[in-house]
Amino acid sequence: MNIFSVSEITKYIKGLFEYDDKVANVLVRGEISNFKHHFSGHCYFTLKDNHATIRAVMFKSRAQVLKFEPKDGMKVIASGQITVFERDGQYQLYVQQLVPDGIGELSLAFAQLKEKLEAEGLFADVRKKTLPMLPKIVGIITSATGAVLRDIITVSKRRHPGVKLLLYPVLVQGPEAPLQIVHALEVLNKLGTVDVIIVGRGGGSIEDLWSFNDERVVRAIAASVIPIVSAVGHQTDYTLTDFAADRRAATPSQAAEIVVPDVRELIKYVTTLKNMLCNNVYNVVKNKRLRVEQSTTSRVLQYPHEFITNRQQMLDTYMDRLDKSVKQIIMVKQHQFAISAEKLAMLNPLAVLGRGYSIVRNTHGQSVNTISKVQPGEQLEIVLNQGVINVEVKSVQEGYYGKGQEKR
Amino acid sequence: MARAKKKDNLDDICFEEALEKLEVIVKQLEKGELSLDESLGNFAEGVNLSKVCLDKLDYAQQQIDKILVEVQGKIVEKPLIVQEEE
Repeated sequence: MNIFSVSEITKYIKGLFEYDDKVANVLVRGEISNFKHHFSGHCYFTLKDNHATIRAVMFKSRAQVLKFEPKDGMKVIASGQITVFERDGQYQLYVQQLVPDGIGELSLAFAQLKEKLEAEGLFADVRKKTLPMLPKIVGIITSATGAVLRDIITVSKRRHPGVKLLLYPVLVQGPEAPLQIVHALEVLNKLGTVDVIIVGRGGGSIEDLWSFNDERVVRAIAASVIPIVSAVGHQTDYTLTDFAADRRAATPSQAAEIVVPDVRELIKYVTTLKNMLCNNVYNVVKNKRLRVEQSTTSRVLQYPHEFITNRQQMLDTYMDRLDKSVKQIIMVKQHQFAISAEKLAMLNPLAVLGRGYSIVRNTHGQSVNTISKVQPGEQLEIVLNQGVINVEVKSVQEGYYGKGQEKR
Repeated sequence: MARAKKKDNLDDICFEEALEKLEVIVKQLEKGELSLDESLGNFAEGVNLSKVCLDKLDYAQQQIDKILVEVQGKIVEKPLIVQEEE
């Protein structure tokens, strides 16, 4: 029996693997565990099912084109070659391609990248820039050939022939497309001449549209200082570019409609505003003039004399009324005085003298109203209607009233 | 000074800005609360603004579309001629 060194026997075993067609190109289904993305770029993991495990390695050159991030517990299908790693005496699967099991690889990658960029806030509404209402120059990033460019030109010229279009031609699919699109975005941003950019391509399979899900493209779209309208694929196709763009158009034609205003509508609008302006200022002047006219045509300013004569007339009327009132008051007072005077006259004791009566007073000025107060020989005065008679009392007779005047 | 300069450069303001100003002036005049002098001043400015807007909307002259081409690392604009799909 030959005695082999470890190296010799390992080499022999490795040879067995390499001469076997089955393990030289194999597809293995399993669950990822112990996944390590080494800083060198190589990926190390094991694939397992319920009963077995197999070590796997995916070198950087293959790993970097992965369109999703492998994770522990993920069910995958790995393709590659199984052979022996001599140093460790381990057989392992050298993975060429790794595909998620059960779900399309691209769909998974799409979902993962979308989640990641969304978490970074790349699609947030606050990042969205407003589009210019009237761009002078519209940048277009798409294929120089094809319906997309033609549609955009047709719609744009129909709406506003004065808007200039500036195409940056790029490949819109294939491995070179993402970098070309990113470069185009950089160039247009650096030039700074365009006011808005349309990024687009026609419809196609998810693979055809894949460049617009490329992380580099999506980031470049989000980073653009110039507003971007995306028009990728048809109505139902959504790419990450659509999410990162400031506005998504369902079709290239719609993108042109969004970006290029209908110049006739705008002219109509501006003309309307201008007419309103004229009407408004006309009304303002009319109103002010009306106010001035109202002031100047008032009767006071037109017939100032009337104003004065009116006042004079009123003054006269008031004077008359004052005069009348005063006269009335005097009349009433005079009347009241006459009545009072009459009453007073009637009560005047001297008045009875006129009717033949007289008053007898003694020397003390006291009226003598009874004979008992009079003594014969006493000086008295008799007050009559027109004067006084000084007399001396000859005698006093009680109960006698003179001749013809007997007591009844 | 800055104000006078602003008025002189009415041509430099963009369409959106001119339109927005015009809309504001129309609304102000509509209210009729301004003095006559202010109204007339605004009116004059509004007429100028509408002229600026309409000038910017002049589409009689069709623009020639361009294509950017990189020649030896330099970006050059050339007239855009739409090729038919191959």
